[in-house]
Amino acid sequence: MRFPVVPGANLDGVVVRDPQCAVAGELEPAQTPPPYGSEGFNLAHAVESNVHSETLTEWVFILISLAVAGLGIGLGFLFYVKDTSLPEIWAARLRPLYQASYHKYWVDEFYGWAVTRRVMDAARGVYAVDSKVLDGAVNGSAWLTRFSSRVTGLTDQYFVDGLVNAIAAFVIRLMSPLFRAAQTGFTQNYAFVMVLGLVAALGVIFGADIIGWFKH
Amino acid sequence: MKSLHILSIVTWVPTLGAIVILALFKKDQSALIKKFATAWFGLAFVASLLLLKYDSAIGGMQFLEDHQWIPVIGARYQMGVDGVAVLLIVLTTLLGVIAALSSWKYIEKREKEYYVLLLLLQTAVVGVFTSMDLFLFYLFFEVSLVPMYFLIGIWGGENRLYAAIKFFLYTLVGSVVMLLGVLKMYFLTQDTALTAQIAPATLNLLAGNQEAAAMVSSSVQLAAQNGTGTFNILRMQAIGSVMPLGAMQVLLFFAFALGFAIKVPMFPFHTWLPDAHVEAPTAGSVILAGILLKLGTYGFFRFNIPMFPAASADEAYFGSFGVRSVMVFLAIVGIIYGALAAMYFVVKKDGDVKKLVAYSSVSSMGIVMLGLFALNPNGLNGAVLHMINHGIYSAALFLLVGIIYERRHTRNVAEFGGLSHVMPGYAAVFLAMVMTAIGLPLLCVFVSEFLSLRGAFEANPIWSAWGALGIILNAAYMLWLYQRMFFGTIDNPKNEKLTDLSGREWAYMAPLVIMSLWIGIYPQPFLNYVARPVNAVVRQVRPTYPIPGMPPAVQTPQRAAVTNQK
Repeated sequence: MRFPVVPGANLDGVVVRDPQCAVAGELEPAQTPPPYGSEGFNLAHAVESNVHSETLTEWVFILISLAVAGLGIGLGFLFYVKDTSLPEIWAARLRPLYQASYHKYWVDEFYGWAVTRRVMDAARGVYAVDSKVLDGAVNGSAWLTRFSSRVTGLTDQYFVDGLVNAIAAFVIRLMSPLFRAAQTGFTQNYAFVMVLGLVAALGVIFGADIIGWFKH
Repeated sequence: MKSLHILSIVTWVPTLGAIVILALFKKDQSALIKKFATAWFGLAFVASLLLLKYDSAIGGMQFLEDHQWIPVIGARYQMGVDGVAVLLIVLTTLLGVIAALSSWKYIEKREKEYYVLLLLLQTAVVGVFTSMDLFLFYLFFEVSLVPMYFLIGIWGGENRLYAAIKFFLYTLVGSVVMLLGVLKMYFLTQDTALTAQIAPATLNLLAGNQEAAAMVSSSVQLAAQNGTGTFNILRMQAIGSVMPLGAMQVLLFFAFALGFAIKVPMFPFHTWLPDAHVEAPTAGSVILAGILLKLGTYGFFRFNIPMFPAASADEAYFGSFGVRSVMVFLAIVGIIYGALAAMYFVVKKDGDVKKLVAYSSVSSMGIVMLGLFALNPNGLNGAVLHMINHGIYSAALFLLVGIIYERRHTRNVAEFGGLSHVMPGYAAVFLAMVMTAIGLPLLCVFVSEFLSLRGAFEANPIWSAWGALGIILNAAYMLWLYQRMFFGTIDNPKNEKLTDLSGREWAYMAPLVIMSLWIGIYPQPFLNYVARPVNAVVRQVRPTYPIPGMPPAVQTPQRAAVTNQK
């Protein structure tokens, strides 16, 4: 059921469960909560249905609590004040129970084994992966770069530069006899070559004009 | 506000200090240099406090600056911060002072170069948080690697060169892949078929205020006049709202995500971190853990989530799982995995305390990523606050490890025991920070972890359960570490004559303890700064998510399919 909230409306008989609901306009009809809660088996209910009084029920529980506390205090007095040899005797008699209680039922040991040790293993594992695999990949790529640079360098040195040198060597082998043959040392030969050059140059520069002049 | 150039001042003051040191001081004046550098860091910190005038009632990007820079590609010198960036900047400048103060005795060679690099690093990091232009952001993001590389490589431990090169190359790989994404986004800003669909309301939502929106419009206009694209971050976020969920958006998401995930670092890209931390000098570790890791998470907050909203919320692109599922999975694995790996260093008899703290950062950053990808205000608030809190307590723990290392020249857990008898002050501060790391109520991490897990619970209770398991594991190894180091009797005669914290050490530890308590007891002033930016991001990702006091955003057809998801 939802009621629209009218400012100043009579809200008797409704319990606002959540103050914000009232703002949002959502209200619920009143419900008296049952005493001692209501779900499943309820010790208080069981007692109350026998003694038929709420006050008496409260007293029953108060007395039970006091009795348990008194028993504990009494046992403590007996064991640790009156006769201090008693704890050892009873610890020996109830050995397994005593051990289990002494070691807190080995809950800490269990957690230590199942959680703490496993997390520590995980930490070791993660660091191993990090330094070997991930950083290994980074260093590996650096190695690959260095390797390919070395291959390139050697290729350049022996193959590419070798090719250049081979061509140079080839040229030297082929051409050197010709050039060597030209180097005679005779001045008149050099002068002759110079004259030939001069004629050729004149021919190139003025050739067209000279031919044109003849044709004219 | 515009003419004051507060952001430029906060960004470049450390560089000015570095120039002054280089020009005016001689190599052998180390006593003077360290005092001057520390004072200069103090100056930068005071300057950054001006940013706390950020008006969180208005929200959005403030303290704007806009100048022409490289017109041929449309890159502009644009700066602006929202509340999240303000908090991160103030954290950076605070840790700057602390890092300088903590190095006075620790650094015994090449002091001049050391403090110059420390100052340059601060400029780079603050620049990352102040940039509103993706090109400028990328520049600072990359430049921040260089001083750190030298800090580790010169003043680091035995294996420093390996660690320095690994740190540099690993993060460079990520950011170069990100560069491809940046270029694609740049070309998308020229795609008029796409940009024409952007609703003005989307831009207003992302910019947060009229002034910032006007700055975006003017840079779009200028770009159109010059025939270039624009690198304006808000413009790119707006494009995200009209980009269909497809291979392009998913690829772009992962291109950016790789760059940031390596920086965060997320599992499985984290292996550079323990090496870098172990080898770095104390101040290097402080900046690395406190600030540099946040560049990654800040990147997710500023770029991945608002720029690729459909991909960020996607849970079905790969069939049974989606982009968001991948990120959340990696975040959760990181939380558990980082905690277990950290635990290894107390399980093992002679573990390195610094490595333990380094791995605990991997776990903590997992919490941040989980909070971010919860994609609701609680999760994001928690994630942002956890960035700050992690900056406080991980920096403090590295400082504390540095303090004992200065006295004993070892960080081996087996060497210690019973320290509380000889160093009660040190033990008390260490305990405060261990409790902060665990997430004890009334200390800062409790608030941020609670918010992150509450956000994650709203998205999926199982995610939250995994996160909670990680927190238990964190508590386990932290308490165990504390017990092994501080309780019991002093077995090692070398520990008998240790001196307690000096005045200088108290001076730089106290602010961190106070901050932890302050955020733990009354986090509201800090959450006020981040509330509106966070709401804008949530609104961008999930246009229909109910946020009190915020109307639902414009629903675009590209987004309709995604927003029905949880």
